[in-house]
Amino acid sequence: MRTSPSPFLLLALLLTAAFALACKLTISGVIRDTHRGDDALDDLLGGSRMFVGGLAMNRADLYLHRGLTGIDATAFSNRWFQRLGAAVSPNIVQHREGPEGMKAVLPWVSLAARVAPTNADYVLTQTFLFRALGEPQRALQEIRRARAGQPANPELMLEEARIRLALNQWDLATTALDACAKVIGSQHLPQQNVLLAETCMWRGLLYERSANNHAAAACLSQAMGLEPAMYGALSNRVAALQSGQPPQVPVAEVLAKYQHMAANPLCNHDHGDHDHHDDDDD
Amino acid sequence: MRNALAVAGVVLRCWSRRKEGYILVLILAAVQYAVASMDVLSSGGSSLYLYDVGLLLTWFLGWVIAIHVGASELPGEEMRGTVFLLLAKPLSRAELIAGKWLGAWAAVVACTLAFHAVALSSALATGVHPPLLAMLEMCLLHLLSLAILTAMAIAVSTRLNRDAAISLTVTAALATYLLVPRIPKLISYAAGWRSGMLELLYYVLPHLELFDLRRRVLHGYGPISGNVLTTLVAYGAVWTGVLLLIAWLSYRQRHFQRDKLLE
Repeated sequence: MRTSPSPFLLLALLLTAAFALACKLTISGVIRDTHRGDDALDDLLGGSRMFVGGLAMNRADLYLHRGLTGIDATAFSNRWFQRLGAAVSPNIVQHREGPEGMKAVLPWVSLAARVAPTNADYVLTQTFLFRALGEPQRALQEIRRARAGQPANPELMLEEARIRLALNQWDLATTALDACAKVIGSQHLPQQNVLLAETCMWRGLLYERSANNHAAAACLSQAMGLEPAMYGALSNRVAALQSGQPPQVPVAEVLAKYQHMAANPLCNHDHGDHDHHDDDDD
Repeated sequence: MRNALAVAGVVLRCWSRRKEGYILVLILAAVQYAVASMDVLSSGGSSLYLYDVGLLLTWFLGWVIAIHVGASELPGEEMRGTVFLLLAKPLSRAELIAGKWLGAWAAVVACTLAFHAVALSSALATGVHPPLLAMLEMCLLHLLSLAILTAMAIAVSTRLNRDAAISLTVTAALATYLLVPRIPKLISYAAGWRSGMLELLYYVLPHLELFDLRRRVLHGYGPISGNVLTTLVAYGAVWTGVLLLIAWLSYRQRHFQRDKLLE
């Protein structure tokens, strides 16, 4: 009987070779992998690691929305199969809430950040999740890994400052904020005002904490001027500092409040009404 | 009926002696272990991703084993020449088809339940507790979808050799699973006869996506109602019956010539 190599084995080998070649291709001008950190991942995926990172983040998004990312417009609806499909697989977008939701999303975000560390958004999302889950040490580990590859990225610098604040490492936070402010001033970034405003806000509160009221007032004023919608509540505080009066709310409380907001940007309250937050930072 | 059961028993005993199922279970366990060992995934978050990967592989391997087993039975008998012995017995073509399908599906059920057990064990070991009722429903509907695939593979294999039957069944199953749920959207972009053709396909092809309850189990939607479950079981049974009927219609008038088969 005539024997021949299995065609499926040949097909599998060809597909594997094609995949390996595709991973090595880099789309120049679209994806620039400037960070040659992990040699094993670079050898395996090449420039496609950005694409794989995107897939991982899509998966994280899918988990955040409980398996559904969007509902497409269709030519017809409410046919029998569609009704049955809706009963099997709900087609209303919902969100995972709270710490359990974050824990479900975190593995995919971590994978994206590890596979594509040049994408600061992935790293920032990962460190935010660690902070929100009460693990600032893990967040610090990851931000330091990311900063090793992108030492002049102000977003990563600011995130390191947030983490240092969460760990009550005031001096190191001060150093990170000063470096961040210097870098922002030397670059033209799309979100420059937002970054600088937050940097000035934290720096101002730290100045106040170390009893340098004059510098504190200057920094907080700058934050208010750059983003009045976000930091307008600091106006009375600035006025008090400028007049030499002690603000009504102690600086430790204000620091704690902004740290809480930085770790919990989505409201965890039952009512869902964000206006219930106390915005008076006098 | 007794004859069909006898054929099914032979098929099941044959596949229990072969190594495909055991190898696939070991592969699944190895992949689960490898994924669980990846520190980038396993530190800090929940292990839901592990169960997700396990269920995805279970789904994929279930398809592999169902199509492989279903497409191998009849061509295997023809290749070995044992089809003449079978047809010489007081065994009708319908009983042969039914027995082959039942035995193949029983083997597929055993393998798939083993896959689910491995995926569930790895999930439980890492602290993930899927809802029991939803999980049982998911397993049941998965097995039902594999009954359809096994019947499809057998129907195709009545006229083709094993490799061609596998290729065609894989292509048809993938096209059905990926394309059919998207037809309501695709029709928006089609006009004229194309739109009509797509709508015809929407009703004529099986909706395998209806048997996929992984999203409900992974994302905590709870079990489906008894009415929906009953409807899906009936739908699956009807499609299996239709495919087996097609297989019988294709096989009943087929003539086998010994010298051509054993070339």
